[in-house]
Amino acid sequence: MIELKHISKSYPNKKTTFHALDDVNLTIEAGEIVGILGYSGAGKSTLVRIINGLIEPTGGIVSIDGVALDMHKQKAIDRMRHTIGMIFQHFNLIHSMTVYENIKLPLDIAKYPGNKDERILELLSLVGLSDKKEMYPKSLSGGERQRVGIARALANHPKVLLCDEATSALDQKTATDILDLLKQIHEKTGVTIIFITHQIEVVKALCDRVVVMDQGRIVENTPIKHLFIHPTSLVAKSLLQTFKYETTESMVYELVYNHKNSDDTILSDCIKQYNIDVNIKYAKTLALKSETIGFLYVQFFGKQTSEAIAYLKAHNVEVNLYAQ
Amino acid sequence: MLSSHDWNQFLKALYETLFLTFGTGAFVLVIGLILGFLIYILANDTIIKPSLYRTLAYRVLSTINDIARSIPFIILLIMMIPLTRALVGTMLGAKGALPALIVSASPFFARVVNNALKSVSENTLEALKSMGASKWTLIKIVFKEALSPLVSGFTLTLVTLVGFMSAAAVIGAGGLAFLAYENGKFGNNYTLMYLAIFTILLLVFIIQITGDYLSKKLNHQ
Repeated sequence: MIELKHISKSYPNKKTTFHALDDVNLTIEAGEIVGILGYSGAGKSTLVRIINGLIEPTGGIVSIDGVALDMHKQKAIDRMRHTIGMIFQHFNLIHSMTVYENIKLPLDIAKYPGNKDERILELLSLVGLSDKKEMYPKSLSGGERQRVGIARALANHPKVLLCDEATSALDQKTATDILDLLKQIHEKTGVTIIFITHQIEVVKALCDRVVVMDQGRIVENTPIKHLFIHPTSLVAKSLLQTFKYETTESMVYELVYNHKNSDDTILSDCIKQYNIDVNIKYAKTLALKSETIGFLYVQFFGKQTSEAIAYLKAHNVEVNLYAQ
Repeated sequence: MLSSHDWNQFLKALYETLFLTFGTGAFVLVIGLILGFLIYILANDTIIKPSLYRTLAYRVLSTINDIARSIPFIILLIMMIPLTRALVGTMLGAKGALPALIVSASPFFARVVNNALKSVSENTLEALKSMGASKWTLIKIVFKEALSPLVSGFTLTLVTLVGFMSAAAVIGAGGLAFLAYENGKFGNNYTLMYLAIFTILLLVFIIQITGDYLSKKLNHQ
């Protein structure tokens, strides 16, 4: 478990002080996949680097499994880093080392107690690069380089995997493959994953929970489903813009179906029972990591509209007035 | 064409040139690497935490290095005459050129080393730190990553050294350039002069081609 308490980080300039992080409080449970979402400059990268001590906070306490980090004990910090893997936007591999040597490096650094060769081969097969072990990074594609990055980060069986915009430099298809690989690794090893991104599609596909950041503060901390149904922060709303149904019409209602009731014929029953007409304007589904949410945008016609809405609500369909 | 006396002179000069190039080269390699690494470490937050002392040490070392580097070699050679006499006993021959060549080429190579090390990305350093790498490991890997530009930088330094030696020839430092200078100036043996010049050119080409080949082979960027 990772706990951040009242974390702040400021960079004093000549005239003003820049607050990269401002009183950030966050708890991340073991085994979670948490997305940290925000525009660039929101403080996401600083936050994740404070977790593994790459950046020293100006104030506040970071504790991992109940032990507070002491930035003055370099040995302890190095040991802690063996249990936290990190992958990067630009992969940050060692160019002068082969794939095999790149994965061996963290094992050497942490003085891995087991059979290193066996472990490296195991990691190579996990990320699907067994046939490329003697190649240098420059002859690999972006996706393959990130796979090496992942293998390297997982080498010492870390408890936590920090991902800093790990898919942002990759094309859509490759990014999806990398996210699938991370999900698969999470299922196998139960490693806690903290994924920084500015892409909402990434958190949608991967995360259980999202932390939205803006100007060095956490503005939203919510299960992934809630973010898509009820975003509260301006940043989240703005990031969700691409998923939004745009309409100029009035009296449009948004019906939100959760996975559980998507098989029932609720709307059809409702129409029959209250003798109303429904004009369906737009419909979409959002596939999240563990469930699918359905959105239906409709106009109601008929005398018993309000009773019909109450019926829908009673059957666990969320009804929001979308356009007045 | 060339008498056996000429050939003896040529072989002696060739030996002196090779001795000077690679003898000085070895000193310059060691001194330049140490200086270049020191300047790199003093300017980088990764190895030593920023402090006033560090900045001060960096400024002093870097300034001295740059001053030494910017003195024209021929001036330095003359400036160093008393020191050279005290150190090796003579101004003449290969031995006499050694100190000035080392003092002149080391800061040059130090700057080349520094630039090669700086070409290693901060991202690479960050990745290493995130793995919990020790400072020693960091330095080793920075060196490994910079090996290709280091080799091409050392090649450049060796070629520059050959040039410096020609300047040293004017004050009697020995070697092929001196042989060419003597025989050309007094116009007595143009064949020997051209042979000496051609051999210098050949030496430069061999150094350059070998250096380029090694550097390319080590380049994985």
